[in-house]
Amino acid sequence: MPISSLVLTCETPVVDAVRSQLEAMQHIEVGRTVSGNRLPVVVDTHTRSQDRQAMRSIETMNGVIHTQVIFADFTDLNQEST
Amino acid sequence: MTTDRRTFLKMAAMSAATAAASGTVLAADGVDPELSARMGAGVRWDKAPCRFCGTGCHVQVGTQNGKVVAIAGDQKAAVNQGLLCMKGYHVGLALYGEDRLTTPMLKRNGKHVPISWDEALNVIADRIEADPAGFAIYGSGQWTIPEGFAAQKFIKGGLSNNHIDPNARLCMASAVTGFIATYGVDEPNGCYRDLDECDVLIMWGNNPAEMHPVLFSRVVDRRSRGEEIKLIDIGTRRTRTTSHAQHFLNFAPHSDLAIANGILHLLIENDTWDKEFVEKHCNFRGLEADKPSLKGEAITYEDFKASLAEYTPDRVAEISGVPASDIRMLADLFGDPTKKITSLWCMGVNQHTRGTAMNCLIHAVHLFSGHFGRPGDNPTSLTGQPSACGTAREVGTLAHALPGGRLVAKEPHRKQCEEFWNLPEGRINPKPGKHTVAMWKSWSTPKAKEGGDISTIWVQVTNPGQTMPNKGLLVWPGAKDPDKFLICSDVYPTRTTEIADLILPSACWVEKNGIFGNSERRTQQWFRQVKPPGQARDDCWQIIAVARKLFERGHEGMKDKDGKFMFAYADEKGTEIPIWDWNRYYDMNVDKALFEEYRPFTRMKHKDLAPYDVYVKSRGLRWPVVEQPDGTWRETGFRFAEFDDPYVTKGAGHEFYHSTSGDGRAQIWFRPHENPPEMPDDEFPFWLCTGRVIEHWHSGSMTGRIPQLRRAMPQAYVEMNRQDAQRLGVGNGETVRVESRRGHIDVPVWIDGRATPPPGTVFVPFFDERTSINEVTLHEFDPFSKQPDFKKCAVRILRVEA
Repeated sequence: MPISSLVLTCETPVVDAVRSQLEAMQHIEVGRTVSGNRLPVVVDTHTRSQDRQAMRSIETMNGVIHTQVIFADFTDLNQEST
Repeated sequence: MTTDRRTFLKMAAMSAATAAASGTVLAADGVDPELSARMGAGVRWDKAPCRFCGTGCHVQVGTQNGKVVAIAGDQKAAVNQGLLCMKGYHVGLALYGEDRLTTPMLKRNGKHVPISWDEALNVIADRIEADPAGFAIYGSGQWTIPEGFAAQKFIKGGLSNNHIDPNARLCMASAVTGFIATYGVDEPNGCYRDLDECDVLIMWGNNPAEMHPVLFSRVVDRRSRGEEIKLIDIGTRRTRTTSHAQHFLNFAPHSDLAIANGILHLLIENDTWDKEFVEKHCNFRGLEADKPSLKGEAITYEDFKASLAEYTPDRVAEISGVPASDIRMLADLFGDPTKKITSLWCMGVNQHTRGTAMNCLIHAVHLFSGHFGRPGDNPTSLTGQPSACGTAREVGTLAHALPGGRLVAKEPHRKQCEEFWNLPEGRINPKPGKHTVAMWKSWSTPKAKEGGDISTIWVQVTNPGQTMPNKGLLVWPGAKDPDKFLICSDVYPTRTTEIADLILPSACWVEKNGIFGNSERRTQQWFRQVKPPGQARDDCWQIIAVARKLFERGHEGMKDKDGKFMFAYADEKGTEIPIWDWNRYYDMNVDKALFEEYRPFTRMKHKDLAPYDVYVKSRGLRWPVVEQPDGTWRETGFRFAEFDDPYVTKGAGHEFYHSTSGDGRAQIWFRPHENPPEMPDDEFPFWLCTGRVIEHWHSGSMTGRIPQLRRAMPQAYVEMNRQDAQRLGVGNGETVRVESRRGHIDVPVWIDGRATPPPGTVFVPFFDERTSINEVTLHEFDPFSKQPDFKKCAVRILRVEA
């Protein structure tokens, strides 16, 4: 399954609360806070539906202003499709 | 994947995200070195602009064993600074759908059967020889610059019929006519830096949060850092953009001209227009009564003022539904010289039967108020496709145009092109070819009838079987007519290949060399990184190979004035390479040869490009790119402004050096509000708006084959307002029929979903080939740009019984 990394831009006052929520979620790893309100996040799931669910949960989380995908490895998907 | 490799990749992914979040460039090649190291020595990284929208983000493409295995945002790219949207980071997967077209196929007895490339080339040559004047090419804003240039040369310099037009006619033609009418030359004066420096961002019928998400994030990031930016969404439905905006001005479809005129009216009433700027740099313009043109006729300030008199805030509120207080708010902002205001617009303004007029009015509001020419203070239009600017607009693959801003109707322009191309005098036909709607209407008209003279269309890099408006008029009759012939070069089966008589399999994105030109005049080059599958081949090669076939048959148009083949090129050592032979095509860099041939065309309109090799080393450069005394090449962020544009006369401050009035001034137009050609009535009571979604690129032929994107947005829907749905007795997910006077589709209802249309309005995206909304849309177009209006027509919504 693909591994993706994202940068979340958060409302500055609630960045720690967003971090706590993310840390409590499965399949998600959070990096150190950058510039006071940006969180690097890696999503690593076992199934595609988990991947999609995780992405949706992040996007709709209170305090998350913007989500940007930085990297995706899809070696596995390539292998599946060939 | 082994655990170790997985762990490494996770670390690499975190490293890339951390680097992007901090906005630091960590590696000379644009890839985070840790990411590069973790992916392993076997992965080769190289740059390419993203294949999808007009933003022009650069990605780093990781390849291994002849396949793309990873995509990362390019940290060296000024456009996206390492960031990508969800389409961008999946772009590599666009190559690997299971049903790639890999062999030419000809329709025989109603079935597509594989044929050889040589047979396919002969079929095309036969069609051309049988009816050279009836042969047309329908291209794309997704053509690379060399592809568009080759197609342009083939049709205008070779077949001499000018029947070439791009799908960009459907997305940005009104922006072109707006720029030309105002400044005398196409494309924005500003650039993306406007987003970093504006105090106010006005989005006119524009949803950048979904359609240009990386650009929009620049503004959102500024706000998250505590900067004060006012976002104003002037739209016909609530979207993701609205949720970020402080002000949502919900206007009645087609009434945007009244809003712009309302602002101009108040600038006069409040005496807050910029007299110094206008007196120095602008003229007033109105349409000629007898024969309207983009030049217009001079009017006085008093005429202008009198024309705007009726657009009082109350009258504008009545027309548009936007409260008078909001019209005043806009006028107060434009009346404040201390604020830097950037306007963004795209399809909402361009796909409009009054698109040219509305484009002119956005420029007029900025010019009249003096909000022009400073970073952050500009009217900055966006394009939808990755090379709508570079290829369609600059190379000029439009039926009336020649490369570099020239026109087929102008004799000196034809002569210049004939000289550049070494063609005999008079080779280029002075009569403009058929624009998109006319071309398809002609193809869908029987040959024996008047206007049915287009007999064959060759489609490249686009999917008109899904994206043309009113397909019942423009597409299906031609598809059923045995005298008409359709050739389609594509990567995957589409609604167009389905009806094509001949299908040609094409290479896609990094399977070929390429050059794009993005929305901010940035020219971006990339190299082929993997080979295309099967017998798929570059679109550019396909054009050259057909030209060669005709040359070998003795077609005079394929010869230059010395009798040489029009696409004869030599490698760096001066050895001529038979590039029409696919096995030899990559023995030289054909893109470089075509680009260097194209460069001299660009100088007439001061759209100077640097040599090809300069782009190889950069993440794109914004034209005009001018050589400096030290031999370096300097790009230009802001045109017509002395501080940045080398072509502005010293001391002038601003100069519109291609002014249509010949005096260095821009034109401030008056254009009235008028009703659209079709409006809701008792029989068809809803407005229909169509458009894109964040997950899919245009007709979905690529993104629909990317599992994550397909799953995220699997099918089209109709967005309805809850009140309307309740009144009709339909709930979320229930199928309804969306029907116009032209056709219908059945789609599920989505209420309070991603966006919310106001009562009386519905929205349907066009990406889904199973439920093509363009059976329903209207083909009426703007009289100047010939761009159809996909944003407004009248429909009814009917329950579909299970």
